[in-house]
Formats: sequence, structure tokens, C-alpha cells
Amino acid sequence: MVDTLALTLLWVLPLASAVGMALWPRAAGVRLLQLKALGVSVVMTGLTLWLGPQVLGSSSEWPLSIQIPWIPSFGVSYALSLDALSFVLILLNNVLTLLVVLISPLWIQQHEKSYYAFLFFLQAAVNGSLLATDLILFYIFWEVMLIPMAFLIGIFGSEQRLAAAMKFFLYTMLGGLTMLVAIIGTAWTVAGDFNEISFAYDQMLQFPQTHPWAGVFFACMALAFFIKIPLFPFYTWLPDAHTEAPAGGSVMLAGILLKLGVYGLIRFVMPIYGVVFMHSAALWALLGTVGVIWGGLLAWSQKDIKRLIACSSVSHMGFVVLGLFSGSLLALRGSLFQLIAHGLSTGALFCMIGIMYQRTHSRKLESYGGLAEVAPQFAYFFIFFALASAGLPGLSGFIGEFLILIGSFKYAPWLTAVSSLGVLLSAIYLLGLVQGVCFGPKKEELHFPDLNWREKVVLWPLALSIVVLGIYPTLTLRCFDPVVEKTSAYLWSVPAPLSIPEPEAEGDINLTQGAASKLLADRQVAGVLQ
Amino acid sequence: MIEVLLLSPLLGFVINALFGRHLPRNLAMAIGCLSVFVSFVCAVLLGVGFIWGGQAVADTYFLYSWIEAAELSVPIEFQIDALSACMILLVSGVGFLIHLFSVDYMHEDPLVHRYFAYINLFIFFMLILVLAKNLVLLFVGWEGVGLCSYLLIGFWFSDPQKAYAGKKAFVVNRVGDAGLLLGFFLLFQAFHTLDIPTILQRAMDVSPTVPTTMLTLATLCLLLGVCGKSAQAPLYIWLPDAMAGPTPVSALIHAATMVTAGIYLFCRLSMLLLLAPLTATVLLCVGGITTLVGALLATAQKDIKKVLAYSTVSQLGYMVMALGVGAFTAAFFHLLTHAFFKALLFLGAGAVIHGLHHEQDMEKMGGLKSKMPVVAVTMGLATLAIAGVPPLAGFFSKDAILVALFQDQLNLVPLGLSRFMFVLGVVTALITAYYMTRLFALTFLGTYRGHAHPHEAPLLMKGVLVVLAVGAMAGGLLDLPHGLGHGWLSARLQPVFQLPEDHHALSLGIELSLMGLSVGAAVLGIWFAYRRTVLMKMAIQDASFTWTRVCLNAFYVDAWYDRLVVKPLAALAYVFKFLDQFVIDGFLKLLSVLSFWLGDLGQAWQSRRVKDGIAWMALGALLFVASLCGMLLK
Repeated sequence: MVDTLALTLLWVLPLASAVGMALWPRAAGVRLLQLKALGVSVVMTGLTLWLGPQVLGSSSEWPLSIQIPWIPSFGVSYALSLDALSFVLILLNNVLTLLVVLISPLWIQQHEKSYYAFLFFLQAAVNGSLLATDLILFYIFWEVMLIPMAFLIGIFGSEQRLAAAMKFFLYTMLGGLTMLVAIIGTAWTVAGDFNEISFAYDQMLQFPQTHPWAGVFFACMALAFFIKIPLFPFYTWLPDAHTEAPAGGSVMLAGILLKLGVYGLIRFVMPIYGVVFMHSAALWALLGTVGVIWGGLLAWSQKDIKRLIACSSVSHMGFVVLGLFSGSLLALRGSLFQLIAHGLSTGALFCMIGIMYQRTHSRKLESYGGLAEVAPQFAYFFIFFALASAGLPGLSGFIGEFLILIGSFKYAPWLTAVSSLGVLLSAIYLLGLVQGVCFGPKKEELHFPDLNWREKVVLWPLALSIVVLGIYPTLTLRCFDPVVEKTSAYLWSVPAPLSIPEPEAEGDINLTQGAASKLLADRQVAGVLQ
Repeated sequence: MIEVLLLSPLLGFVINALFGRHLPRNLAMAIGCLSVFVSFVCAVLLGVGFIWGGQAVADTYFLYSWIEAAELSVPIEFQIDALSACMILLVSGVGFLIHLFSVDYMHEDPLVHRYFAYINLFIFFMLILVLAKNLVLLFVGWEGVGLCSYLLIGFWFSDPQKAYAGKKAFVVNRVGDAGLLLGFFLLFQAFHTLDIPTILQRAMDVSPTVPTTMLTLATLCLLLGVCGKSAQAPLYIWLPDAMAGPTPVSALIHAATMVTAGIYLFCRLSMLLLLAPLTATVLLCVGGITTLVGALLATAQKDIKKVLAYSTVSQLGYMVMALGVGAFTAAFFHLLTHAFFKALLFLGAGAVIHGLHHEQDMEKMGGLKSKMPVVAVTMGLATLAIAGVPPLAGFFSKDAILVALFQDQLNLVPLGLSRFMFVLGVVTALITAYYMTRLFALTFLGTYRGHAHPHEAPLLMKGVLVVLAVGAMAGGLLDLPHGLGHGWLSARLQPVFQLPEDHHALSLGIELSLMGLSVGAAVLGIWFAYRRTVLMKMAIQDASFTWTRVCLNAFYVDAWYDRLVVKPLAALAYVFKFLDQFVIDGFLKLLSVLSFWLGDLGQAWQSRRVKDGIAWMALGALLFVASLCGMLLK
């Protein structure tokens, strides 16, 4: 009962407060509204932290889990489960929401009601999709997530906001629809008969991997996640959405929404379509690598600060995809870690840009300069977050990137070597950004007060967690162990091959053939036994 | 003890970075200096067993487990042996002296607390680099010192040129770092670990399981990293620009410590180099080219710091050449003596620049020996030391490298090549003596050509110069050649490098004639420069003179880089931007036009008002919740 309540509260509470915000009487004043929003997000963070020990301390596959039939005739159940992976991402979501709520009074001076309503609505949908273990329920949360984000962009964004919101909405909606096709198709295949159909996660795992339609279903479902990540070439909604979104929306978008794509791949695509996944891994790893370089070069050519960071996200997420598909468990751990690291550093960078935009109403790189002199504290933070994003060792970004690269290198040396250039590119564009913003002569017409207490309250926790994760990553890495083991159990019948294979002279593409055929054989044997 | 050694400068950094603004300036500077002094004391206590006691077995210090994931395990673990003991003494000792020097040099700067915060952080990362027991931790230090170098080169960031120089240094270093990372990946694949002693041990196993090609590839990748950090061709181009930073920074980071990190890395991984002769050959060539190019470029510079910068490039080239023939002791010996005399030269130049109110152009100097005698005498000693005049430090260390090149004991490289590089080394020694004498003569001899009011350096500066001058004079005693006694440093480093004993040492006659050759080259260079600048009173050639123009433009290497690498890459970025906008996005626009057309059909349902949107949203949520409640009640 406590489980049911706690898990349900994780998404009902923000949803209820979203409705509450929307119905909030205008007469009650904005101040109270802000306080209420702060209260709710503190409670949410507290609730998540309270669940922490239960989730991380448990050794079972699903430490917290509920499943209640919902629409039995369609085989849809209300199934929520929490494991370490979803826990960490939910924590990230709730903490980022808290920070955004904290700083938003500086950024949003009109339509506060709907702003906070959409923000909490988004939080609810994200938490919901991270919890859902019924695919239809997941699909609902996933699609619902678009609505608040599109509204946040469409109402609170800058000049081109409507076009950007529409692009974002349609693009991600398209992915969602193909996912629905895949979900229904997979469930049907498993059940064989519409009356027996079930969308429960465990049920979906029974999907016969060598089914002739497996490839189609895989493509349909993975597309939704590839768009969200975003993987090259499905990324073009992201720079527009980021550029036009309000700062708070950008923080959420970069901080957590992109991570849901990776979450979907790990949670659903890899286990359900393991064989196709492994057979096509080389292609996706290649696209990830292209994304690293493409995003980096794009970021280099941008004059718009927000667009620059958005393109850098494409590059960084390319690393994550490479790590996921390299077939190395080390790299998989790195990818998971990178989700957190990138969420923090890029979220923080968007926060910094929000702070700049609030003061100057400009996103153009050339309208800044010499801020290190005018606003030294701001400059300290800006340089710090830029370096964190560039993967400076000792900060969190390095751990993720390093694990991804060293892990992938074993199976895909050439792709990894090319991706290493992304490290160089990130130094080029991020230091270019730092130079343009913080250094050079100060601009006379620029009125730029240094950070105020509210901004510092938001930035310090981000900075400290980046340092702590960088110098003591073990705790977080250990959190992911059960997830990695579970995933590897689906993909490899034995744990990761510890004996390292002979380096292949030109072996970048056949990276997972061996593992795939082994998996295939195992499943067939299992089928015969049944 | 090792915790104090490391945390003391880190604490200094934290205090000055967070609270420096509110502290009195003198207190901020005192904290900066004191924290490094504490480190120095710890370094002495930690290193005493290796330096004086001759302890052969390394001490290891395990702090905590850092990265634990699957087959990779990286602890925060340090090791001290004779090599790293020398390095921590050098870093904290010379570092402390330069901190002291900075007190006088920077005392007028409004951001002095920030300056001390950065150099404290630098000392911290440099100590991590030299103490690291595994390659990942070493990389932390490697990148950390790069960061501090970036921040300090661009310390006077209001000048876009200086900020740009910092960025250039960082980016060029990152090119090398990408190579370094690949090298680490290859080593990890070959040895399944990144722990340095384990790698070396496995590399030396009697039955090698790792193919030579793999090792060669890995060391070549590391070589790229070394070229970046230690300013070797083709990546040396950042170092001359790095002179934009405050002069004590140039002395500490860009002469004595950070730029020698590459030399240190290969000394640390000496066994790998011995197993990969191809890398050794490449290393020898890279060092040879760099040493000559650096020396040639130094001959016609106007900026006193630029001369020293190119000189550093050239001297680092000597060390790299020594690595190429497997003469690790000679390379490290030169690293130590170079740290003394080059730090002294930079600080002397700093004292001159300080005394002339930030004048760096040698055309506006001259005749300063009467105005600042202490600076002139110490600089003169350093000049003789780097020129290779016996019995000063530079003579012995450079001679050790030349002997090693002549002898090529390990036969790592083709004999002809090493002999050729020996000749090149002697020629460079001549050029070195020439440009250093030219620098000294233009600065201190003749008559004063500027308009400032030169004044002698303050007491603290003078003190530091004198201490370093003692080092520059006596440093040679650390490792006397065989003919003159025993090699003290060689004996200490023997357990680290584990090289075979010197079986076929050169006969005394050959050794003495080699010495004579290098002294002859030095004297010739000095005389030539003296004749040109003092006797013939030839001032600096202006840019109409071809050689000067070519040198001032650094052989147009930067321009070619710009043309061949930077511009095409930037252009590529714009091509990608175009592709992004018109090809990938264009396809989508097509789709969106289609969907808007479809959307028109259902326009009756659409409403642009926010309130309606919220109402629909609430309704949907309500239905959803109601359905769930129904389910729960059932």
C-alpha cells in the first residue's frame, strides 16, 4: 500500500499541483503562487530522496512495484515500478524542477499561473513515463509530456516560438505514433490473439526476437527514442526548440527530456528487441559518432549562445549513443553516468544563459564581452560550467566520456578514435563561448549586475554536485550496477566478456556479431526446451 | 604527509578563489606563498629517503577508490620514487620561489588574489601529475595544469589578444590530449590496466603477449600528447603566444614545470619506449627538428620573452632527442638544470620588464647592467649556463645529451640518424650561445635606448634570483660525467629506469673531445653574438631584413596552420550549418507544409488561447484520474 501510494504520488502530486496552479485565484497574488510552487517541488524532492534507500538498498529486480488491472479488456494495467535507473532520473528531474522553480521568479513576470502549471505538468509526465512498466501507460505519459513543453515554448518563448513549438510537437509526436504501432504490434505478436493481449513489461519481454516483424517494430519504437535523444539526423527540432524556449524550459529540455530517449532505449528497446538491436548496433554507433562530430562543428559555427549549447547537446548525446551501442558494459555504464553529468552541466549552462538573457535580452554572442571584469562571480560559474561540459578531468563530464570512450574502444576502435575528436571540438566551441562572453574588453553599453543571492542558491548546488560526481563517482556508478546487469542479462547470456579479444585489424563494424549470434542460439535453445 | 603536500595548495586556491576579494591583499599573497611552502616542506620530508637515502623501492599511497566500473578500476593512488621525488621537490621548490617573486611582481594588480589562487591550483595539479600512479590520475593533473595555464595566459583577459593566446594554448594542447587519450585506450586494451607499474611490469614480461605494433601505436599516440604539452613540432606554436601571461607564470609553467610534463611522462613509461624503436626514432626526429627550429627562431626576436620562449622550445627539443636514444637520465638531468636556469632567465626578464614598467621590446633596453646589477649578474650566469660554458649546470646536462646521441648505446635508432642528430645538437648549441648572448648584450650592455626610468628589482625579487643562480651554477654537480667522477643522479634513477649498466663507456679521450667540441661551439656562438651586437654595434634588424621578418612571423607556420587546418575546419562547420538548415531541415519543412495543410482541415477545433489549452489539459487529466480512481475502487 505504501508502495502504491508513494509511486502514485510521484506523478499525481505534481499533476494535482499543476491543476491547482491553473485554478489558482488571480487575487491571491503571485508571491503566494511562487511559494506554493516552491513548497510542492521541495516536497517532491523530499519524497524522492525518502524512496532512495529502499530503491538503492534493494537487490531485487524491481525494488518498488505495483500492478493493478486498469482496462482489462484491452490488457492495459496500471503498472508502476521503480528501480535504480528510473530513480536516478526521477531524482534529476525533481531536483532540476526545484531549481527552475527557485529561479523562475526572476525570469517570468507574466502568466505565472500557466507557467508553473505547465512546469508541474511536465514534471508529472516525466516522472510518470520513468515509472510506467505498462507500455500503454508509458505511451500515454510519453505523449502527454509533449503538451506542457510545447506550451512552455509556445507561450513563454522568444520571437519564433510558435514555429519552434510546432516543430517540436509534430516531430516528437511522429516518433510517438510509430512507437504506438510498435507497442501494439509487439503485444499482439506475443499474445497471438487479441483477447489475450497484455501490455505489461514482462509480457512484452516474451517477444520472439527472430520474428520477421522484429526489425519493423524495433525501428518504429527506436525512432521515438532516437528523435528524443536526439540522434543524428533526427536532431533538427532541438536547436530550434532550445533557442526559442524560455530558460526554464531549456533547462528541463536539456536536463531531463533528452535523457528519456536513452532511458527508453535501455528500458524497452534493448531487452525487447535484443537481437535486432545487436545486429544493427554498428549503424547506430556510427550515427552517434557522426552526431558527435556534426554537433560539435555545428556548435562551432553558431553565433547564438543558446543554439550553440543546443548543438553541443547533440554532440554530447552522440557520445551516449556510441556508448550504448558499442556492446561494452563499461561504455554502457559511462553512458548512464553521462546522462546525469550532461543533465547537470548543460542544465547549468542554460541556467547561466537564462541569467544573461534576463539582464540583457540578447542571445547573440557579440553583444557580450568582458563579463569577467563586470561580473566576476558570474564569470567564475560560467567558466566552471563550460569546463565541466568540455569534460575537464576531476569534474563529472570527464567520468562519463572517459568510460564511454575506453569501453567503446575495445569493440569499435575507429569510431572511438573519431569521437575523441569531439573532445577537441568541445574545447574549441566552449572556450570560444567563454572568450566571447567573459573575456575581451568590457562593453560600455552592457549593464550587467553580478549574481544575486537567488541565482547563487541555484548555481551552487549544481556546481557542487558536478565536483562531487567528478571526484567521487563510485556511488553513482554503483547505483547503475543492477541496471547494467539486468541489461547485460538480456543481451548477453553471460556477463561481460572479461577476457579481452584480440585486437582486430580492421574490425570496427562487426562489433557485436559474436554476441548477437550467441544470444540467438541461447534463445532458440530455450524455445526448444519449452 | 602526502595529503598535506597536495591539499595545502588546494586549500590556498579555495581560500583565495572564494574569499580572496574580501581579504587584505598582503594576506591573500601570504596564503598563496605559505601553502606552497608547506608543500615544499612535505616534499622534502617525503623525498628525503630517495634523494639522500638512496631508497630503491617506491612508496605508494592509496587514498580511495575513484572509478570502479566493470573491468576498469582506477584508484586515487600515488607513488613516490626517485623520479617523482625529484619532480615534487622541483615543483614545490621552484614553485615557492616563483610565488615569492610574484609577490613583488604582481603587488599592484587589483586581481592579485585571483592570480595566487590560479598558481596555487597549478601547483596542486602539477603535483598530482608527477605523483600519479595510474594514467587516468596522471591525466587529471595533465589537463589540470593545462587549465591553469589557460587561465593564467589569459590572466589579463581584457586584452582580446591575450585571451586568445590562452584559448590557443588550450586548444592546441587538446589536440595532443586526444592523442594521449587514444594512447591510454590502446594501453588499456593491451595490458588490461592503467596502473603504471603494472603496465611496465607486464611490458617487460619474458614472453611478450602484446604485439610490438600495438605498443608502437600506443606510444605514437602518447607522443602526440607529449608534442602538445612539451611544445614539440608540429604543436609547439602555442608556447610563444603563451608569453602573454604574467612573466612569473611563464617561468613557472612555460619553462620550469608544466612544459616538461611530456618529458616526465616518457621517463615514467621508459620501458614502453624501449620496446617501440619506431616511436623512439620518431621522437628523435621530432626533438631534432624542434630544437633547431626553436633555436633559429630565437635568433631574431625583438621581444625578450619571445626569445626565451623559443629557447624553451629548443631546449625541450634536446630533452626529447635524449628520450629518442633512450638516454632518460640525461633527459631528466637536463630537465632539472633547465628548470633552474630557464626559470632564472624568465624571472630576470621579469625583473627587467618590471623595472622598465612593462617594456618587453629589447630595442628599448640596453645598458641596464649599471641600473640593475644584481639582475645583470644573475642573468649573465644563466646565459652562460644555457650556452653550455663549464662548469655551469647547462654544460653538464647538455653534454650528457650530446654524448648519449653520439654513443647511442641502446641502438634504438639507426646509427646514422643518431650521429646526424648529434651534429645537429652541436650546431644548435652554437646557435643557442649566439641568441642568448645577443639577448644579454641587447638588454644589459651598451647604452640605454628607452625612455623609462629603470630601477633595480626589489629585495624579494633579488633574493629569488640569487637562489636560482646558485642552482644554475651548481646544478651540474648532480650528475657529473664518468670521466670526472660518479653520476649521482644516474645512481638514484637507476632503479626507476632499470637500464643496463654502462658497459662500453666512452674512453676519456673521446669524452673530453666531445666536451671540447661543445665548449668550442658555445664560445664561438658567444663570440659571434658579442661581435655583432657589442663590437659592431649592430642594433636589431628591422623587418625589412628578410631573416628577421621570417623569424618574427615564426617561419609562417601559424599562417600555414590557419590556411590548412583552421580555415578549412571552420569552413566545414559552415558547410554543416548549411546542410543542417537546408538539407536535413528542408526535408522536414516539406513534411511540415504537408501537415499544416492537413491541419487546416481540423482548424475548427483549434484555439490559440492559452486558457483553452489549460482547460483541455485539465479535462484530459481529470478523465485520466477518474478512470484510475474507478480502477482502484474496483
